[in-house]
Amino acid sequence: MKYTPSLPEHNDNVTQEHPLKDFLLILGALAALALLVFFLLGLLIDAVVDRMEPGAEAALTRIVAANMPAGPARPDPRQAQLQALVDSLRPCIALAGPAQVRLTDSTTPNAMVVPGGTMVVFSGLLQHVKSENGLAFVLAHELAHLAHRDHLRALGRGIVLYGLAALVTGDNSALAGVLHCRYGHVGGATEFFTALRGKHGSGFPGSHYVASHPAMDARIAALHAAMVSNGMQQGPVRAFAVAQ
Amino acid sequence: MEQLLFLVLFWGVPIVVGYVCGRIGEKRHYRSIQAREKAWLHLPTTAGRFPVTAGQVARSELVSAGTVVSADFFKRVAASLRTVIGGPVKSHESLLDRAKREAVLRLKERCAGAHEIVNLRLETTPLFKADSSGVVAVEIFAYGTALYFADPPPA
Repeated sequence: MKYTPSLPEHNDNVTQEHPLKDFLLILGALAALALLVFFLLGLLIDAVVDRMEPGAEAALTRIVAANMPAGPARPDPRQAQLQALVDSLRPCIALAGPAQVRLTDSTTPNAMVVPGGTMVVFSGLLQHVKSENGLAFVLAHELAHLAHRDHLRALGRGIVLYGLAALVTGDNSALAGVLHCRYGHVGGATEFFTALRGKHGSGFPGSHYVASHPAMDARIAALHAAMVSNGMQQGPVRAFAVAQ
Repeated sequence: MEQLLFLVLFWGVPIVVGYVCGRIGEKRHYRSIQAREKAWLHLPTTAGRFPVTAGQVARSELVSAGTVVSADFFKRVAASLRTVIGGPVKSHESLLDRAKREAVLRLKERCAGAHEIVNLRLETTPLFKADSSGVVAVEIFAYGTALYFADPPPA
């Protein structure tokens, strides 16, 4: 057989496909799969959290309890004052676990819950409320997070999407119900939102209340509408003096 | 949000740079390979033990040539995505094809006066990171026996 040198017409060793096709196809499929798994895990955790026995929640709470730094040597009288207010709200909200208040010095008008039934209140919050009723509304909001076991849901979904879970408890008319239960009227319910709006416009960047909850104006309007439709009356608010 | 932006930039920029540079470099390399293969077509290079041209061999020598190639970042990411689901690593096919053809072309250029190359062999050596965690590049080493005929046939 005679050897005839020639160049190959086609290169079958190399794919003729566009390199981006393979890349985008696999990336898209894996991303879709990851989202699906994340979504299903979220549903699963919600289902477990909803059905969890109080005993199991207490046990889990002990395991995941945040390691809080030691408090000041002399107990802060403001913290005791807040704890008393939180305890007085408990009969109005279905909360099985503990609710321990920790006051932190910070100018941010905010509060949050951390695993272990701890409610962290930033001292800036105390400057933004005028009445006990207004403060009680904010604390009831945090208690609702605890009662709704949002801290446990957040463990499952990761803190990034905590905001999505928190939106569920953005239902302020239920919180107005807590105020109504505690004080017999809903006076002061919009006090904190109005204070925030007055001071920072309708948005306050970085605040948990804005980042993960409906816009301030919409919230105040919805709250008013809900209170009117439920026949809840406004009443005189109790003055709030910060304990010294 | 900032973390997401950071992630997108952290991965996106090297991928886009790798893709653009890799595509340009690959096109240029293929043009060079095709031109040189055409120019060296007259030098038969086979893996067999016997020459394809009949004639008296006056001299033979061992010739060797090597080339080291590395994938661009886009190819590397595309290949690692591929390793998740399995299947042909298409992004690396052109890379190794170019490397093999480049090594053989360099082999031919090393013995420009030869009439034929027999016993062509290609060796592949992956170059690993110091901690063996991944392949950095691949060396393709080509070697063979260059034959010089006493009475070369007319080209």
